[in-house]
Order: sequence, then structure tokens, then C-alpha cells
Amino acid sequence: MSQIKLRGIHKRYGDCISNADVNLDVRKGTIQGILGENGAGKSTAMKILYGLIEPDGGEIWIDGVERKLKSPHDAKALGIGMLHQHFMLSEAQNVIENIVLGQEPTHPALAFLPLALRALKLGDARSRLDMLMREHGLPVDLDARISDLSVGARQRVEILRLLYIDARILILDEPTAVLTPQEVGRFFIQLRALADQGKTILIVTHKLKELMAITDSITIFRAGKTITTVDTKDTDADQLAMLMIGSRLETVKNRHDVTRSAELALEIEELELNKTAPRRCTLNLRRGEILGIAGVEGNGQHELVEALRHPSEFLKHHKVKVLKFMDQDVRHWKTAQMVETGLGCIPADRHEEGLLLARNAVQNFILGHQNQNSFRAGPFIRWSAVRRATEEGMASCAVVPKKLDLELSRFSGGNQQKLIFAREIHHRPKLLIAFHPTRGVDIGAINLIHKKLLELRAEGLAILLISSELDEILALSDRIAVLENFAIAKTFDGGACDETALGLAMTGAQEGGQHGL
Amino acid sequence: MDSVLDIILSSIRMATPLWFAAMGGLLAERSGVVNLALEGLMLIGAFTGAAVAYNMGSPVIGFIAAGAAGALLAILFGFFTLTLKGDQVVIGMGINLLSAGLTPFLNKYFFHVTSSTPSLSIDQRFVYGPTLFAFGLIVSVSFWLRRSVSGLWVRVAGEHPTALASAGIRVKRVRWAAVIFSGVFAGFGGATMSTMLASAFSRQMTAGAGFMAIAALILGRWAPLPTALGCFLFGLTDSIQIRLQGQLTGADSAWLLQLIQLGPYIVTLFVLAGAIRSSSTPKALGEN
Ligand SMILES: Nc1ncnc2c1ncn2[C@@H]1O[C@H](COP(=O)(O)OP(=O)(O)OP(=O)(O)O)[C@@H](O)[C@H]1O
Ligand SMILES: [Mg+2]
Repeated sequence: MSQIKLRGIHKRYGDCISNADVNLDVRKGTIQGILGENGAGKSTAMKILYGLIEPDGGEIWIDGVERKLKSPHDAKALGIGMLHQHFMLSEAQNVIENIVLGQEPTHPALAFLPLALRALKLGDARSRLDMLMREHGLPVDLDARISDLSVGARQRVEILRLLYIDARILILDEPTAVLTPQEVGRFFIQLRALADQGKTILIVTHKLKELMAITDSITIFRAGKTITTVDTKDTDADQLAMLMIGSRLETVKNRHDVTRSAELALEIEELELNKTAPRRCTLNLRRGEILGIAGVEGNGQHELVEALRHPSEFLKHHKVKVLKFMDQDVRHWKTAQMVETGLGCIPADRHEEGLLLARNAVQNFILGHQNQNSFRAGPFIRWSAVRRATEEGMASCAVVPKKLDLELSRFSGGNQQKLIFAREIHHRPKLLIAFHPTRGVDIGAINLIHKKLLELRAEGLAILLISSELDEILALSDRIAVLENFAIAKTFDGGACDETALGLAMTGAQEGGQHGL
Repeated sequence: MDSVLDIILSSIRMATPLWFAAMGGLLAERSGVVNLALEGLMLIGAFTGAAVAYNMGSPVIGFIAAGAAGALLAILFGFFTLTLKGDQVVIGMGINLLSAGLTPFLNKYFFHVTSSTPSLSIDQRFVYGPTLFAFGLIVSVSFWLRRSVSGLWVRVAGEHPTALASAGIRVKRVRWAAVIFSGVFAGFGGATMSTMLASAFSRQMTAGAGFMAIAALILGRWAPLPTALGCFLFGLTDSIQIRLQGQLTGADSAWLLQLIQLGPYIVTLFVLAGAIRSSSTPKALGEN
């Protein structure tokens, strides 16, 4: 018997149908994958199962009983836990407070009081979390404020929280989007152990490799409907791609056949990314070159991006010898100047730094580019031009639904990401920082983005590609630099490098190597 | 000549109603609800406190009744803001107007005058009880906010309500509780004015104290102890102002007197203008 059964779930928003007909059967103790294009309705279905969204109709059966889930409170009472695609962490609170939220440990002496009035006893949670962190290799500082954490660390916090709460049914909406392969590996071992203990797990991911590695069966979503469920052992990545997008998947690869110009787009010498680090960061980037930055998050990726986006701000507190962008000394430059000179940036966390969720697509499309001449007529914004640009951008990057006036929060995660990408390349930047550029994007759209990156590179764009996806770095980069402890530890030629070598360099297992670039 | 100690003691007295109101405001705002109704909540508390103390002959009962009256008015505020999801700023101001009109009306109804309640005798008044209570309240709020389960809920409700909801906790209930307690505390603040600082309720007697409490809250970055310190600063200005007033008697110093009376308001303005750095503002403040 299935532990979770969804029948004919549907949900629409105005004329936008999110879920048309979702049917799902998940057996107890199994791991079921959910696969589908961006906007296919996966997150919506998962949120319905968690009580965050009320469906327009359909039935939800759990343990053989039909349930009405009015809020996550009801879902929690049934033992359902969820990890959201977009983190649900309160920035002003620290890690441990976020983790225990909803399942707070309290002093036993106060047990006679209602829960709300009891004192927290975080010590208990702390020792359990220390154990979980050690066991699963998910280090986070429990006392750090969320706002000080990198995206990777935030993802680890979300996972820790899921392991901490006592859920029988785990819903994971893209839990691995920014984890490194090693972290994913350890996480999956854990998931399997949980399933073996009898927990039921639903996992949404765009990574076919992961689906093949961890799931027992896979359900395919297309345009709001569940079209089929296949057993993982009877399928392969090609077939999954066929089912999902209806065509075979070609692979996009850097053929290393473009001759790079000698002109430098970016020159960094001895940039201090962290005050306590022993070494400084030196690297340069030519026009028409893709430089992949590999490395475990927290080794200086965020600082590097900050330094390039807001040089004057960043350099108030950090030292540098040379910082040149398009042959100009930019040490005193402000963000706007960088953008006007041709800096584009796809930020690591789209909600934190990339978008205004309560604004529509057009307003988001001008964000950061409001000074572009094509968007202005004297002191006024030419909204007609912005609208046209937005339309073009959405079309060229396959953003759906193609509604210019829809609030950004109403686009699916992958489509939000594609919109940022479209915006940042629209003005033909000279240097593009691509930080997790394909986070949460479906395989078809990843190909599209990769193809565009390679095209732009052929036209002379310099790209700084920072990603936790080694595959992505290996497929696209002309050169690969490993960032370790706030400095470049090693560099590889893009054509002459494979995952093992890179993985080794990243974990610091390999000694020596060239330093700096 | 007044000793420094005298000034400090009188500042503490003047700050007491602000402490109550500010702790009430803190509760509401940390849970994500902008509470500009503090002024009106204090006013109804001031009236109820004096009226009940007079009728029952006990300031303690008056004080408790004032808390209840504040709670009732806060429920009205909560109904419009939380249940009907109206604009919190507009409704807060509406509650203030309602209270400003309601108090003289009730006064007329019970005591046949609109200006003030009958004056309280010495045993119907407080000497320093509310001040001690306020000390206790500040310490408890500070401790509660950081160390208790509901304190955590309130903090997250004001920062990331979806995260709270997603953890299985009903945001609306948390906010309702916070708003009601905010009414209770503001009511206490009002009663402090009419039964400790003065010996009767008089029309518009709060005179902006609710807004000063909000200013102190902003100055104190929504944290209990710094907020209490902010209130003390206003109390200090107020008591210095009163002292200076007492020393100026000549007719030609009338304008100076008025200027001095403006003191606390000017300090409020400067504090607000100088202290606005929005970094620690509860992020979801004012959202529905
Ligand atoms: N509140 C809303 N209002 C209008 N449309 C919405 C709303 N929420 C979701 N949608 C639409 O419903 C569709 C399904 O969204 P959903 O987030 O479930 O997609 P998804 O499969 O999770 O995609 P992704 O892989 O990009 O995360 C999208 O087209 C989206 O625009
Ligand atoms: Mg999704």
C-alpha cells in the first residue's frame, strides 16, 4: 500500500495552471524522485503536500486516510517535513534557532507550562546537532547568524534541520542545488539510511545523475501533470531526458577551438580576500576566456565576487596591489561604474541579491541597469524600451510563462534564474560573473545557458564561472583555478583536466602545483 | 539646588509610563505588526486606571482594569489589521483618534464632565509600585525574548513569517498574542500616568507619550534594554524641562518656557533623525 497517495490534484492561478492533474503513489521506506522542466509544477505539488498551498481540488491520502492539509501545522502533525527550494531561514536569527524552530527543546522542569511559555534549552539540541554534523560531514557554526552564511552553508543548515526534526515523510525540493559533489555523496548515503529506517522520501532535482544514484522510482511532471512513473533500475539518463523534454539531450562542450585574445579583461594581483588568510589571491582573465573557479564554498568565492562588484566598498577593509577591469584601475570604483563599464553578474542567491520578488518581470529586468542609455530619455525611464527588452530576453532564454507583468515570486525557481541570466547578458557585458549560473535550472535550459555562454565567449566576453557543479566547470572552462583558503591553490588547462584531478585538488589532497596565475 | 540623584529619580518616574508602552510596542513590532496605536492604548488605559481606582478605591484594581481596557482596544486593532488585513499604520492612527474621542465621552458618561476624572486621594494613588513593576517587566521581556519558545516565535514572525509558518507554527496566533499583550502593557503605561504621575485622568494627558515610546523603540533598535535606556533619556529631558520651568517665573520668559517645554519633542525628533539605520528593523514589519 502506498503511504502517500495524491489523486487528481489541481491548482490554478488566474489563467496560469500550476497543477493540472497530479497523481502520485509513494511506498513507505522508498525514495521517489520527481523530475520535470522548470515551471512543470513540481514545487507547487510538493507545497500542496506540505499544506503550504491549498489545492483547488483533488485528494491527498496519507497512511490510507484522506486528509485535508490546511497549513504546515497539519502536515507536521502527520510527520511530514519539507526542505524548500528557496531557503526558509530567518536571517536575523542564528543557525541553531532556525533549526529548532517548530521543535524546540525545553527545560523538563517547565513541562507543566504550555510549550509557548517554556524556556528554550538549546544545549540538548546542540549536542544532537554536533553529532549529526560529525556523522554526516555537514559542518556549520551553530551560533552564526544566517545572514553571515554563504549559500552552501545555508543549504547545509536546511539539511541539518531536516535530519533534526522527527519526520516520517521527507519532501526535498532541490536539496543539492549548491552542494559540492562530496557533500552530495555523503548526503545521499544518509538519505538511503533514512529510507532503510522506514522513512519515505520525495526528492525533486534536475540532476539526472543524482536521480539515478539515489531513487527507487522517478515520476515525471510535464505541464502540471504527472505523465508517468518509472522504476529507476529499468531506466537511464537518456530515457529520462526523452520523457521529460520529449527529445534527446545533446551535450554542450567547450571545444577549445576559439583563439583567445591577449587583451586582459580582469587583472587581480594580491587581493586580500580574508584578513586571516596566509596568502592573497592573484588571477587574471582574458577577453573571450572562461575561467572556472572550483573549490569548496567558503574559501573566498563570495569575497571575490564582492570585491569585483563593489570594489570601493570592499577595499575599505581589504588590501590589494592591482585591480584592473578593462585596463582601468578600478580600486575606487563604485558598483554603478563597474556595471556601466560592462560588468554583469549572476549572483549566488537569486532571492537575496538578484531579484525583487514583489515586482514584475519588467521592473526586475531594469534592476541595476537603470542607467543604460537605451532605457533612458533624460531623467525619465523609457518603459516601452524596457518592456521590449524584457520580452526579447524572456524569449531568448525561454522564460515561461511569458507574462511581463507577473510578479517575480510567481515564476518558478528555474524561470527566475533564467530571467536573471537574460538580464545580465542583455547589455553585452565585457565581464560576466556567473555564480551558480544554472542553480535550479532544468537540463534543457542548462544546455541553453551553456550554449549562450560559449557563444558570448566567442564574441569576446570574459566569464568568471563559479560553480559547485564540477561537470559544468569542466564542460565550459578554458582554464580552471582552484580556490582554497582565499587564494588560488592550483590552475589547470580546461582541456587537460578531469573530475578526479579536480576533486583531489579541491580537497587539498595534492601537494605542490603552480601557485597563482 | 537639586541634587543629581533627585533628577535621576524624577527621570525614572517620568520614564515609567514610557517603559510600559515601549515594551508593548516592542512585542507587537518584533512580531511584525507596526503598532502606532500605542498612544490611543495608553490614553484608554489612563482613563480606565483613574476611573476604576476612584470607584474601587484601589490603584491596583485600577491598574489591572487599565491593562484589560488596553487589551480590548488592542483586540479591535488586531481585528482590523490581522483578521481583515488592513493597513497597520492607518488603522493604528484610527485607533488613536477613536481613543481621543472615546475617553472624554466615557468621562462625561460616568462623571458628567469631559475634562477630567475626579481627583484621587493619596491612598487611591501609587507612590512607586508601577516603577518597580516596570523594572521587572523590562528584565522579563528581555529574558523572555531571547530564551523562551514563544520569544523565538515572535522574533521569527517579525523577520520571516513564512519560515515560521513552514515550521508548523501559526503566525497569526503569534501576532495576535503579541498585539493583545502590547495593549495590556500600553494600558499599564497609561494608568501609570493617571494614578502615579498625576492624581486624575485629564483630557489628552498622554500628549504624545505613545509616539515617544515608538521613538525609543527605534532608538533602541527594537531590543529591550537599549529601548528602556531610550525611554530613560526622554524621561530625563522631561524632568529637566520641568525643573527649568519651575525656576523661570518672570512674565518676559514666557517664550523661553514654551521652548523648554518643547524639549522632549525636539530630542525625539533628533533621536529619530539620527538613529535611523534600518539594519535591525524586523524585516517583515508591516507586512500582512
Ligand atoms: N502564486 C502564483 N501565481 C501565479 N502563478 C504561479 C504561482 N505559483 C506558481 N505559479 C506558476 O505555476 C507554474 C509551476 O510552478 P512551480 O514552482 O511548481 O514549478 P517547478 O516545477 O517547481 O519549477 P522549477 O523547476 O523551476 O522550480 C509556473 O509556471 C509558475 O509560474
Ligand atoms: Mg520548483
